Amino acid sequence: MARSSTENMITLMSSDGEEFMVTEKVARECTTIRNMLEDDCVITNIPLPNVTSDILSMVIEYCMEHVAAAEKAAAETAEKGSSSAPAAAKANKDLEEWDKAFMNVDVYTLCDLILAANYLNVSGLLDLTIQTAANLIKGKSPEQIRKTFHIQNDLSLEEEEKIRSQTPWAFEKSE
Amino acid sequence: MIANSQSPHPLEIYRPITPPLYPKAKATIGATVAGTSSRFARRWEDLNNDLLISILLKLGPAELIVGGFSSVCSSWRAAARDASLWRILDLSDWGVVNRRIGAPIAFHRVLGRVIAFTRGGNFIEEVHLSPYSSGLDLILISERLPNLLYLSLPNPNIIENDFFMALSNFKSLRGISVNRNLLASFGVLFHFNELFPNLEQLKLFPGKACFCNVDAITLSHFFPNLRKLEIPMPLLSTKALSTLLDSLKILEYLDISVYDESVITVQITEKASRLKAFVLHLCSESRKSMDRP
Repeated sequence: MARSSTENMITLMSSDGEEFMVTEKVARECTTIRNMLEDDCVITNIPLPNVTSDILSMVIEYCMEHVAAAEKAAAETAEKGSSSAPAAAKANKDLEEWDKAFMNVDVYTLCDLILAANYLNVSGLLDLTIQTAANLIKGKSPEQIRKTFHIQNDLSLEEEEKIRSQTPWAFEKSE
Repeated sequence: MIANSQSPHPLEIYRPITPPLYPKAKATIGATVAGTSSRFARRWEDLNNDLLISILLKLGPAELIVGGFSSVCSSWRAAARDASLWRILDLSDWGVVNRRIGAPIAFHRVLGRVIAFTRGGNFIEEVHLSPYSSGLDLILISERLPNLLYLSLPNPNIIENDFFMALSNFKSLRGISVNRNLLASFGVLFHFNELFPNLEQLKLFPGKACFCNVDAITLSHFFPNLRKLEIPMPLLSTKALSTLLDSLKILEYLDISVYDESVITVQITEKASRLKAFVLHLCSESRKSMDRP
């Protein structure tokens, strides 16, 4: 990824004090940061007290990959006058594959990523993580979902009995 | 099964004590205890309601109705009962609902469950039924959800009597989506016109049927106050289209399909220019022969 030396660099600071230098373009993928930059264009150091360093590094990784893909597509379009449909389709597929691999994380990381994507307002990442969570819920019984997400069942026996009588199928194990 | 945080029996510990493995984590080992502990405060059951709802919205109608998430824990249960998830009750893919449960299930049981779960179903505005939903299902819907605003009823074989019984229960129906056979049933049409003279939205299907001028005259006579009309029938004549545009004075949105753009003459384009939206789907000619009997 060639970057011009004139490009503005922004420092993002995680809740645990780690600093990440990113280009303004990458930082702008986060709508929350973009709004900050638009309000105050000389800002170069942004503390993010709600995001830990390991999660922030993943968010940055996601933003960099998506910025790079968009830049590549734009460069190809400029070069050829118009982007060729098969090449664009392949690039899209590659990015989808990348997203899929990127989502190969444990459920705690996934939860943190959802919160970070929501807080930083990275719409693509929020959509991706939320879809991943939904896919983990699909087809599972309540007990299987609790196991998958490490959720404590705080429903009283009474409540559970009530649910059971109303929706017997919800407790049947799906294959 | 119910873990009590005060007495953590070894088998009841549901959160890992050691940090989970982060395949992509790049932070150096030991980087800040504070960061690690704050991540551990985040648990799926504490995810805020809006985010949980956006996850549930991705599940699709069948999973929403019969999925296990609603009995996972109290916060998930609360999210699952949120009004925003139940504005549209989509039962159109009944086969998927049955497959998810693993056995055929009676319509009234599912409807009863949904209504109980959503505290009376007061925020259900739209119901989409499957092509197999019977007249009895329709009557049941009208009895249990009389305040419905929109109903989709694809079954072509609903008998007039069932229509009569059901329609009079609805109090505020604003739109329907029905099989085009309705246009042949004057009894039902009169009833419709009497009960809902201000019906705003109408969609007719299926796409294979033809829609000629007689249909257009009938339709505009019985539904004169339509604002939105969808007729996905490519065998649509210019004459019929012209009649609709002339007779439906307050129509704002028209969605049609054609095989051949020549149906849309200059006059039609002129007449349609007053609409807020004129959606035209061009169907391929190759399908024409398949669609025709």
